[in-house]
This record gives sequence, C-alpha cells and structure tokens, in this order.
Amino acid sequence: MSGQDMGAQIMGAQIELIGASKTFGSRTAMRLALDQVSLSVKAGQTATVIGPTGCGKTTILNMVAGFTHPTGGRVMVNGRDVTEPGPDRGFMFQRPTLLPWLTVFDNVAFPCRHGHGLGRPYRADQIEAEVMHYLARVGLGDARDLHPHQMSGGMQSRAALARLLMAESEVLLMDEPFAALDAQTRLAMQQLLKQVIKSEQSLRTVLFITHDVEEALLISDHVFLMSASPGRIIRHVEVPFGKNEPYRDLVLSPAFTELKHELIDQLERLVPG
Amino acid sequence: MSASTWLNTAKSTGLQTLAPLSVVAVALLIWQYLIPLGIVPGVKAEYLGTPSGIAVAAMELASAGYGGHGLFEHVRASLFRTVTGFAIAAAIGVPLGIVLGYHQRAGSFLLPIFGFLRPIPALAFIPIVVIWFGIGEFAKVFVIFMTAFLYVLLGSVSGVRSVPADYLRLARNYHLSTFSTLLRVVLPSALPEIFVSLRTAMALSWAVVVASELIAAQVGLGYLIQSASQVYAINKVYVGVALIGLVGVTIDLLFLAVERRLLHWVGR
Repeated sequence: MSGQDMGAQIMGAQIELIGASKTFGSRTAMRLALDQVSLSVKAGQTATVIGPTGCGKTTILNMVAGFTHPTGGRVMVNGRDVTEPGPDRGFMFQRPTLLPWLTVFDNVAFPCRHGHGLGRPYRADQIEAEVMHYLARVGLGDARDLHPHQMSGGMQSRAALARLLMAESEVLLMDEPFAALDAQTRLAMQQLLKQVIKSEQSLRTVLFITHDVEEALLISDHVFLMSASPGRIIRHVEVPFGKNEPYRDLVLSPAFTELKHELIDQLERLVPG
Repeated sequence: MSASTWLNTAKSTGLQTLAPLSVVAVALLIWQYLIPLGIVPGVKAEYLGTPSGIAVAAMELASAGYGGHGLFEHVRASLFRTVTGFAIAAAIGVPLGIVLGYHQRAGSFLLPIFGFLRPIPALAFIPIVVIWFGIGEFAKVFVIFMTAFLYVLLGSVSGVRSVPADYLRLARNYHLSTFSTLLRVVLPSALPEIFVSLRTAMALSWAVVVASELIAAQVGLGYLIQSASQVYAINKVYVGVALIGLVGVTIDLLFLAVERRLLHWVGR
C-alpha cells in the first residue's frame, strides 16, 4: 500500500515501478533478484539506474520493456501496466545489435518498414527522408550503404541510436549501450545522446542503465543507486547540474567531483571484497 | 617492398608450385615405366593400369561413351538424381527446420526422431528402398532425399537456435509479425549455418548417388565404374573415379561462390 501512496505523489510519471519484485529460479532454488523496487520517471526526464553487477538493473529495464514480468508489484508506463514489448518503448541493447546482413540505411529503416503499431509514416519516400535525417543527426550521413562489419564500434553505436530515434518511441530504454566503447567514443556518444534528446520536439523519457557514475551524472536528471542481492534502491539523487553546461566546466566543477566521488564511495562499499 | 624481397617472394611462390608438381611427375614416371614390370607384390601389373592407358581410356570414353550412353549422359544422369533429391530435401528441410527450431514445442515432438535417424548411414537405407520402390529412378532420388533432408533439417534447426536473443527481442520490440520475424530476422541470421549444412548435404548426396548406382543402374557414373570394373577395364574405372571427384569439387566450388556472394557480411 505504501508503494501506491508513493505513486500518487508523483503526477504525470511516464515510467513507474511500484514495489516491483522479481524472483528467478525454480521452487527449490529461488533467488530474489529485485526486492520491492519503486521509482518513477516523469515525462521528458532522463533517469539512470546505477549499481554493482548483479543488482538487477537490467531486470528493471527488461520489465519496463515487457521482455520479462515482475513476480510482485507493478510496472507501469503512462499509467498502464506493462504486459508485452511494444514500439512505444524503444530498447537500446548493450551491443549495437545491428542486423549484419543489412546496410546501415536498412537497419535504421527496419522498425518502420517491418514493425507494426509505431504510429509512423510507412511510405517509402517518407522513410527515406527520415532515415537520412537521423543518420545525419548521429553523424553517419555518409555511411548509409555500409554494412555493420565495415564500421567501428562507435559508428555501430551511432547507427543503433539512429534506429532507436527513428521509431520515435516516447520511452527510450538503454541498457549500458556505451559500456563496450573506448573512453573517447563513449564521451562523444554521451554528448550526442544528450543533444539529441534535448533537441527533439517530442518529449522523450529515458531510463538508462550504467555502472559508470560519471556517465550517470552527465546525462541524467535523476540517479537511482542500487544495492545487490537482493536488488534494492538505496538512494535517489536529483542531479543538480545544468544540462547545458559544457562538459569540461561540468566535470571540473567541485560540486560535480564531490557528488561523483560520494557516489563512487557508496558503490564501492556495496561490492563485497 | 624492396626488389630483393620481391624476388624472394617470387622464388618461394615458384618453389611452392614446382615442388609438389615434381613429386607428381616422378610418381607418374614410376607408374608408367616401373609398375608394369610387376614390382608391386600381390597385384597383377595389368590391374594397376598406366597413365598412358588412362589417357587412352579417357579419349575412348569421351568419343564412344560407355554401355550405349555418352560420357556426358552418365554425368548428367548422376547429377540429375543428386540435384533432384537434394533440391526436394532443401525445399522441405530448410522451412521445416526453421519452424521446428523457432517453435520449441513443435520441435520437441519431432526433433528427437530425426536426431535418431541422422546417424544411420543413408547407404543402409538402400536395400530397404529397393524393396519398397524397386530399382527405378525414384528409389535413387529417394535415397538422396533421405541423405540430404536430415542434414539440412537439423542444420537449419541448429542455425535458428543460435540466432542471438537480442535480434528476437528487437523483432518483439517493434511488433514484427511471426512471418516477418522468420523471414527477415531468423532466416538471414541462421543462413550461414544453413549454408554449411546445405554444402555438407550436397557433398554427401554426391557420394551416395554413386553408391546407389553401384547397386542397380543402366546409366550414371556409379554404373560406369561398377560395370567397367567387372570386365577389369581398370583405366576406365580410374577415369570414372576421377570424374566423380572432378564433378564433386566443381559442385563444392559453385556452392562456395554462391556463399561468398550471398553471405558477404559473415565473419569479418
């Protein structure tokens, strides 16, 4: 009941978990992965869930996506319980997950060409124009005819981001999408994501998973810190920094550094050994 | 690259071609001039043939044919049986394998049965098939079908089961229909493995067609070598065997060429 009270306090939330629990395994070997997790992300905001490996942060994302279901509590998007995956919630995987037999262009066009219920134009010329718009947006305007194996990891990530944006989902679910990139490319992708989200006219809600504290503070409005076994939210930080500050000024500011190290310390205490 | 290294590379390339060729040349000379003297114990020298005898036999076969059929007709008969049986097997095996691999429940009914049948050599089915269908064309095509079908089916199932889970989640995320998912995600993703099974099945089919022609046929490469061996025409048998190898290699190269074109995106 207390979970529902909490939900009532935050109006207009687009993503909402109310006491969501998840148990894995058989009757004989049960493991509580998530223990009554409650969080909400308002429309148009970016929230990051951060925590040690195995804390169930990906499970949270999978529940919002509809790939898996809570064994207790509720998971809602736009006030409705999530029952199945759908194009209103675009998912960006840990790896770019581009289809290797398609060109970049065809990969980005894929959801609109072959998907259903996107509420998007399906005419070939419209798709063509929009794919080129989003490819230009992520800096891949010249790469339309390349196949994934011809591109670097960073370019593949850009293409995956373009595909995600192309579907114009209201909610973007991102599962450590930049974790495998080198530091420089990762930084570029973080900046790009921030720009893209803020510049689009449509209000996109983002739920982002990472284990990188700096990444969390750089891109999000809210940070939820989790502990592991079982996964619980132990801290909620409203990120106090301006979204338009240049990267350099931001990361060098004492307030940023202090909050970052505070969170890192807290995370380190959670990891046994 | 400097001139001297270039020269070294050219030298070693030349050596790489010349060395094995010289071995072949020496072997041919021994075969032509020493073996007819009866230096191989236990085998009559005339049964071992000679390179020149093989050349004569090849020209004879090419001009006069064998057993009332031209040489090309023998090749064509064997190829026709193989390709027919293989094509039917692929046309049924690939789609069925995709469905059985994708729908776990349907697969759990049928796959153990096919898994049990696969290790049985197709040659063991030949006597059964002869009893069922006699010794006509259909029996031979059926044996090929049996050989290729199980390979292709189980290869397709395994290809489908190794489709990355995230590809399937992508399809679910954007509400692709089941048909679209199978056609646009599962099939292309499984295609490299399906292709390997098709290539293996084709090579096996070619081997099996020759074996099935050994038993009962009036035309075909298997018939040719079997029949020629009965009259001790050893050089003609050699030509037939070499032809079987040549056609087999050609088929495999064709498959490789198609694979390289179709699957240019794999493994880079």
